[in-house]
Order: sequence, then structure tokens, then C-alpha cells
Amino acid sequence: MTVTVEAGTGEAPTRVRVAGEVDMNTAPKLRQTLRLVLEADSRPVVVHLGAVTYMDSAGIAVLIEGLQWSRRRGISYALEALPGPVRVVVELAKLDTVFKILPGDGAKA
Amino acid sequence: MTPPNSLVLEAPRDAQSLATLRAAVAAFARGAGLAEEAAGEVTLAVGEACANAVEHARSGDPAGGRLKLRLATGEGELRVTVEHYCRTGDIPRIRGRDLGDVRPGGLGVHCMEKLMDRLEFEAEPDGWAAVRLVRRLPGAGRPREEKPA
Repeated sequence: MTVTVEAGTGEAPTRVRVAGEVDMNTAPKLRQTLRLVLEADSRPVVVHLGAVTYMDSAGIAVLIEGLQWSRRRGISYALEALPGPVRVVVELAKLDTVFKILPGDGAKA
Repeated sequence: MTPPNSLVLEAPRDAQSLATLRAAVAAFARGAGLAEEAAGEVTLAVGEACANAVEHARSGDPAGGRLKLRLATGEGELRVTVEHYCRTGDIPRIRGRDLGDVRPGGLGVHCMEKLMDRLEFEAEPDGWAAVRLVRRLPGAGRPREEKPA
């Protein structure tokens, strides 16, 4: 898994791009990054998941934590470009209406 | 080449093994005739089971710190058994989980139940239990296609 942060400029949100497999082994790194980003700034945060090839409940738990941190700080928080493997687990968790989900460019990693 | 109808996978029982185990499970599931999406669902369910097995092992050290999976096809089904999944005494609690009560930590079992046709538990001699994840294969009962001569 790789996590890349693109700091927003002007009106643009900060975009956290996640690629690869998010599981119990890699989720802590995503958690740490989301926490830093959500604590550092009050700019909107978009988590781009277009290049994620696998995500399980460990990854979902981190995305939920991100949502909770953002709410606490009043920061806009959205997920973007959900590929099939992510959509499956988000829907199983009945979170497709809890998260703000943007269509985004799924192909662009 | 005819895909194998059984396979045993073994790896250290830690989080770093999960990706490799999942890749092997995905390949076996596709070889068993599951389409890409269905193979992905089986891989997710088995991945959750393996992650739980790693987590549950923190209350002991079963099987010498090894995580063992047995994969098999037969009778129109794909079966994946994760050995030393949990303690036998924890089975009723795992099965009794309220699916409406989704929160971090309980989602894994929910995925396993939703994505597979059946979950079975099998007591092991040392107080642990294996979980078996079963998924029906497409076109079950159809005679196997012969290789052209």
C-alpha cells in the first residue's frame, strides 16, 4: 500500500491518494496519515481510493475513524473514486450513505 | 492444465502474511471457476478470516505460530478451512453477532457471512476451532469440459 498526500492550494481540498492493498498490516499507516492530515489543517479532505486493489474491515475501520476526526474538527471529508473491491466492503458495512462519496476519476492513480 | 482440487497454504501467523495468502486464495478461486468478482468476494471473506485468526491468536499461540489454510473443491463447492481460527468456547459469541450492529471490529465476520454461502466450525483437539468458508461454484453438476485432443 502507498499513501500520498497532495496538499490543497487555494480552494482545493487536500487529497490523500491510497493505492494497493489496505488490510490489518497496512491500515495503521493510512490511519497515521489521515490523523496527521486532519489535525494539521482545516481544509477539506478527499480520500482518493481509485487505485486500491483490496480493502477489508481493517481499512474500513480507519476510514470511519477519519470521518469521526473530521466531524470533531468540523472538516469536510469525502471518499472518492471507489473501485469495485472497495465498494463491496463499504456496502456490506452499510456505510454507502454514511460517507460522502464522490465519483472521481477511478482510473487515475 | 487442470487446476488442483486441493491446496494447503501455510505461513507465519502474522499480519505480514495476509497479502500472500490472499493472492494464493484468489488464484485458487479463479482456477475453481469463479469469475473475477466472485473470486474477489471469496478472497475478502477468507482475508477477514485470516486477519481474525491472527487477532485471536494473541490470546495464545496455537499451532506454533503458524497459520494454515486448506482449500478444496468438490461437490460443486469451494471450501476454505482456516485452522486454529478461534477458541472453541468463543464460537457461540461469533455466530451470535447482531449484523445490524456494525462497528469496527465486528465487520469481518459480517463480511464472511454475507459473502459466503455457509460458515462451519470444526473443533480441534487442543481447544481451538477451525472455520470453514463454503461457496457454491457456478455450473455445479455440469460435466467437466474435456481438453481438446
